[in-house]
Amino acid sequence: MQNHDEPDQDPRLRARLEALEQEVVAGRGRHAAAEAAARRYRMFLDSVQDYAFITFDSDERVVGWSRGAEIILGHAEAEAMGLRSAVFFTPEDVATGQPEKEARLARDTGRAEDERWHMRRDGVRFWGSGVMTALRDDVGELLGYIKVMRDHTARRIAEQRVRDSEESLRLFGENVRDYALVPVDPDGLISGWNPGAERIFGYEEKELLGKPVWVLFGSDEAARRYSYGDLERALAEGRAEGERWMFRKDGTRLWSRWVTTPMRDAEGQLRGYAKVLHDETDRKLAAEQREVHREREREVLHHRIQSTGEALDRTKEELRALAGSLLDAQEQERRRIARDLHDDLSQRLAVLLFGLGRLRTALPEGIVPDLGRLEQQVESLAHDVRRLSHQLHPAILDDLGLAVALGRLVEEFSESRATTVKITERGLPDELPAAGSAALYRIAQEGLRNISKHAGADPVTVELTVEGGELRLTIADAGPGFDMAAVRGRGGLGGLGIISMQERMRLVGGVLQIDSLPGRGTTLVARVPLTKENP
Amino acid sequence: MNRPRLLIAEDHVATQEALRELLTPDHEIVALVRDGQAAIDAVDRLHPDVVLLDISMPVLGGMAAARRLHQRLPELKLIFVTVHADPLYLEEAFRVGARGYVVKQAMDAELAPAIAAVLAGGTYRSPSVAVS
Repeated sequence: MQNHDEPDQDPRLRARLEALEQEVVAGRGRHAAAEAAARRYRMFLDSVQDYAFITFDSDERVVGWSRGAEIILGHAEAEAMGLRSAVFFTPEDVATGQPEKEARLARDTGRAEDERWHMRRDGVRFWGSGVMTALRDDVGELLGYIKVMRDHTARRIAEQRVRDSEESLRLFGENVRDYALVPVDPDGLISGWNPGAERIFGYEEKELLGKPVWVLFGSDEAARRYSYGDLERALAEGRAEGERWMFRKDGTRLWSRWVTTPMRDAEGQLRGYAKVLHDETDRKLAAEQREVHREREREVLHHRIQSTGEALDRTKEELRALAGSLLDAQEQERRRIARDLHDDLSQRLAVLLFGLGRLRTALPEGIVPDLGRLEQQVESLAHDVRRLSHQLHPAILDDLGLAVALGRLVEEFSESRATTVKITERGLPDELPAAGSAALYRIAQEGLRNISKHAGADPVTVELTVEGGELRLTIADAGPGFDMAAVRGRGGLGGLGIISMQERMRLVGGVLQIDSLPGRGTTLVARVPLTKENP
Repeated sequence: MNRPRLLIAEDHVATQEALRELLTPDHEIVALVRDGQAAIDAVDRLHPDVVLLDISMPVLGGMAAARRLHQRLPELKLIFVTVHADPLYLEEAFRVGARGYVVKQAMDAELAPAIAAVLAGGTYRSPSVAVS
C-alpha cells in the first residue's frame, strides 16, 4: 500500500481504481460461479459411467477425461491428458488415416459418427459406438472436439454372430450341390432355390420362385394332391419322408427321395416348410437293374429246379418201368419154366408110364413086380414135377381161370392155417384177361401170405366180382391191422410187398387200395379194367 | 360097324405118337392138330364123331376150345386127355361141355372104354382123379 499516497491524490484516478476494484470483486464472483458450474458439470459427466466423455483441443489432444472414459478405455485421467486421439484407434485404422478422417469430418460437418473397434490401454479391443463433435467459440474459431462413446462390444459380437450365421446359412445353401434345398412358404409356394436344386431339376431360381412346389411332382391333379398331402403330413407328424418319380425341366424323370419339415418361428408360428431332396435316380435304376437280374436268376434257378424235378420224375418213371419189366420178366420166365416142366416133362413121364403099362402084358410073370415099382417111381417123379411147376406158376390159372385158381389157393390156405376163408364170386364172365388174372392171383397170394404172418387165425373173406367194367378182388381180415404210413415209411419187406403189389397192378392198368388201421383189420381191394386190350 | 372118327388136339409129339399107337387099330384118326383153334377149324371141315382134347395147348387151350365147340355144337362129343389128375380140372371140364375125362397116365387102360362110353351117349370120369 505504499503507492496509495500518490494515487489517492488524484480523485479521478481514485475513482478509476475504485471502479477497477469493484470490477475485480465482480469478476471474482463470476469466476467463482463459473467454477461452481464446471464442477457440477464434471460431477454429472463422471456419474454417467456407461459413456466415455472425452474432450480434445484443436490438435486432437486430450484435455478432458470422464470417469466413464477411464472405465471404458482403461486410462486414468492423469495419464490420459495430452494423449492424441489416434492412440485409441486400432493400428489398421491408424494406418488408413481414420483418426484424421474422423476429425476432418467433425470439423467440416460439425460431427462424425464413430462406430469402430477401439484400443483399450491394455491392448484389448472393444467396439466403440459414438459421435465426435467439433467445439467452436462465438465467432466460429475451433476450440477442440468432444467425443461421446459407449462400449457396444457385446451387442456388436451378437450382431456379428447373427450376420455370420446368416452368411454361413447362405453359403451352405449355395454350396450344397448334391441336395436341393427348397424352402416353401405356408401356402406351398417355392420361396428359395439353391444351386443344388438348380442342378438336380434344371430350373433356374427365377423360374420357380413363387411357383407352387407341386410342379416338381408333375403337372396333373394327382401330383398336386400328392404334394399338398406331403405338406399336410409334415405339418401333422413333424416331418414327412417320401420317394417318387419327379420331373426335370426337360421332362426327363428322376427318382427323388426327400424330407419335408415344417419351419416355425420362436413363437411357434408356421413360417413355411423346408424341403430337402436328393436325386437317387442312379441308385434306383441300379436297384431296378439288380431286381431284373435277380428275377432272371430266380427264373433260371426255377427252371433248373423244374428240369431237375422233371429229370427226377423221368428217372423215377424209368425205375418204375424197370421194376415193372423185372416183375413182368420174372412172371414170364416162371410161366415158361412151369410150362416146360408141365407140358413137356409131365407129358413125357405120362407117355413113359403108358409105355411101361403096355410092357406089362408082354413081360414074364417074374418081372411084373419090378415093373410095378418102376411105375411107382415114375409116378412119384411126375408128381414132383407137377408140384414144382405149380409152385412156379399155377397152370390152373391159365387152364381153368382166375376163379378156380383162387378157389384152389384159398382152399390150400384154409388147410394150412385153420382159418375160415369165405370166397364169393359174382358176375364173372367165362374168360378173364390173362395178365390181369395173373396179377390178381399174385396179389391174392401175397395178401394171404401177409394175413398168415400177421392176422393169425382171424376170419378172412375173399371176394372176386365184376363191377362197372372192372374185375375186383377184395381180401378182408379182422386181424390187428397196421399203420399204412408207418409200413411205407419203414420200407423193408413189408413196404416192399405193398410196393410190388402196386407195381403189378400198375402194369395191367389196375389200382391197388389198402385200408388198414391198428385194431380195425385190413381191407385190400385190387381192381383191373375188363377191356379187350387186357386179354 | 364103322370105326369111330376121331379128331385129336395134342401139341406134345410123344403123346401124339402114343395116342396114334393106342387108337389106330380100332379108330379112324381124321386129323391130328396142335392147338385149340386148329381143332375148332378142323371140326367144321371134318365133322368127327369124337374130339380128344389136351388141356394145355398153345394159341387156344383145351378148356376154351371145348367151351366154344360146345356152345356151337352141343351134341359134339368131347373127351379131355390130360396129365391133370385134379378134381377141379375134371369138374371144370364137364362144366364146359366135356363128356369124358381121362388122365394120360392111365390112357392105355381107360381111353378106349371112355370113347366107347361117350359114343354110347354116356360119360366117362377117370377113376385116377377121384383117388388124388
